[in-house]
Amino acid sequence: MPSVALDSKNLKSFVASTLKQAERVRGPVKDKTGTVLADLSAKSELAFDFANFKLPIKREFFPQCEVISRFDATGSRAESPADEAVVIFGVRPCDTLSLSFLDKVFVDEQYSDPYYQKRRDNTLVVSMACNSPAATCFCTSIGGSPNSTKGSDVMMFNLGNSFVLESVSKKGEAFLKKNQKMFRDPTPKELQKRKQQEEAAEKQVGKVNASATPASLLKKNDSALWDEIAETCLSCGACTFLCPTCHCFDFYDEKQGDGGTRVRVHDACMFATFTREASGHNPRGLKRDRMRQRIMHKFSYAAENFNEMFCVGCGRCIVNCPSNIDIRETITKVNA
Amino acid sequence: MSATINPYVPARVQIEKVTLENDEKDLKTFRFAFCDKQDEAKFNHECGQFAMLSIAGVGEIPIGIASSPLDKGYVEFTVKRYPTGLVTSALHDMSEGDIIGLRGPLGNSFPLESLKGKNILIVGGGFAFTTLRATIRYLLSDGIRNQYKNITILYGARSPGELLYKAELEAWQKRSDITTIVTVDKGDYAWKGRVGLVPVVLKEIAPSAADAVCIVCGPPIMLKFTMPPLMELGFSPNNILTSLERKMTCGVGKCGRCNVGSKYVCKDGPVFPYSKIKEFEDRGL
Repeated sequence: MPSVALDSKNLKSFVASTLKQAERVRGPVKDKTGTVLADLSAKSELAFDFANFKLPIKREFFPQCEVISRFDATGSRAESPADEAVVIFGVRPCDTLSLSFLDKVFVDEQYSDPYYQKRRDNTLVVSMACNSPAATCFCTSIGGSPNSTKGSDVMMFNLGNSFVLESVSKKGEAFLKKNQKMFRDPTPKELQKRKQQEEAAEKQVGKVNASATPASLLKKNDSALWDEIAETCLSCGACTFLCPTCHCFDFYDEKQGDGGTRVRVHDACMFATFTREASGHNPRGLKRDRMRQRIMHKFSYAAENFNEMFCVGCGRCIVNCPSNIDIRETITKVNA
Repeated sequence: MSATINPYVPARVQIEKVTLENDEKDLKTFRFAFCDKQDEAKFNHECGQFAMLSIAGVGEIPIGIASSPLDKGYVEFTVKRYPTGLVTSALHDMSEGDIIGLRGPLGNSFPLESLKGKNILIVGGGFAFTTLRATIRYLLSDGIRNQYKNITILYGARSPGELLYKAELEAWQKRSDITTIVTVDKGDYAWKGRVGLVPVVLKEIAPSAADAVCIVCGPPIMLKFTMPPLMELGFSPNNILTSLERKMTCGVGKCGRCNVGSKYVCKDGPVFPYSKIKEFEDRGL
């Protein structure tokens, strides 16, 4: 399907029309903390002047905390995410790219995660190309781009007075077809502007020399580098919780009387308890081992298992690390 | 993406029998029967696999399956109680008739099918003997034993009271179609058997490595000192199979904690050839 155009003044009615087609429509709106992803109503004012959401998109499919089963004296029963169609607007290309990675982890031939899979199946992702990447962005160095469509269903370009939309997946194509009354053909001028914006954004993104990282890491197994990088780490886990590709989790049981719930929560490889066994043995007992694990998992093990580096260059870990550990510097050191 | 079964929800199993295994009273073998016949039919394990034992309200632990795939109608696990282990403690406090959950079977297995026609050496130490016991029970079954050549078992524990499956050990020692050598680090007044550490006894009995594969499970310290004599006997790192243990949550390669390098012990293991373990060690993992 060729590109279509939507005038900005019709955005609200497009959202209103989407609200009739899906149980839930999510999109970027302003609140006290900045721009957040929230449930939209026909009256919502969408905000597109933001670099990225503070929280990664993984939480829409793999929530920080979710009940996976309920138990009582008669046994355990699986919980299932709601049977609802969801549309998410305004997802940045780095975040949609992370979904393509998480798909490889959570959905495979042998075992699939039914919770993630159901939410993925039920959700249509409309991504928004970046016009003004942040200072901490480095997606182009790591296989992404401010205009990358991987993991997305529909790609949107914000041209100021109008938007250009393109379907990426079959699901996206059906969605655009269903709403075709809202759209018109884009003018040649619009298409030209889109191209100019794409090129300008690509140029704006910061650069790191990252492509050799998987190969370099094979030589850095027991390097003193890990002591150096881990030295200032507080083991708070902020980098992993805010990382769109980190997917480690734990189960814990909440007992209420004779029954209760088994809850899945995000967990982090930066915590000593993550691998500590009942016997007291801990295969990753030192902070340097855990730092190495995090970097190795992203840039070496993922490359080996999935032929991808599990980093999308969103820069969240850089912005939010309380001791200013910068993954771009880590990548540079690894490749030095 | 199609609908799939939920790998996180346990089947219900009832404790049929609890056997206290050792003098320290911290090792018990639990025999479970499935509450639902459908779950039983779906549970087809191979020697070397593990399962998650799931106690609602407490948690889950990965434990190697100690019964043979041919032991029908039940499945057994030998569990060590750790005072700091929530699930092992809760399980040890349970008794016959109690119901828990079981998820599995999980992981890979000893490649017994491809070892047909070979000599098999099984070396075990301490309470890491559980999946080896499953393997021995299987290999000694009618119709299976004759598919393999010589089977030699070397099993050691700290003291006579810490040996697992004492009655079975005695029965195996009486059989003429296997060689069973049991040793303890330190004997007691009643012990008439062999005394000596597993690696030392291994050198003494010196089983032939010709057309043979060794399956070895034990505490890390035993493994460390058992590998050199095995290689001196002529076993190549590819012909030594061992099993790893790690803390696990999901058991299906997603939760991210049981990896050694790029391999998940739950999904790519727990069984690895020693050549792979050496590779992990060489990389400092």
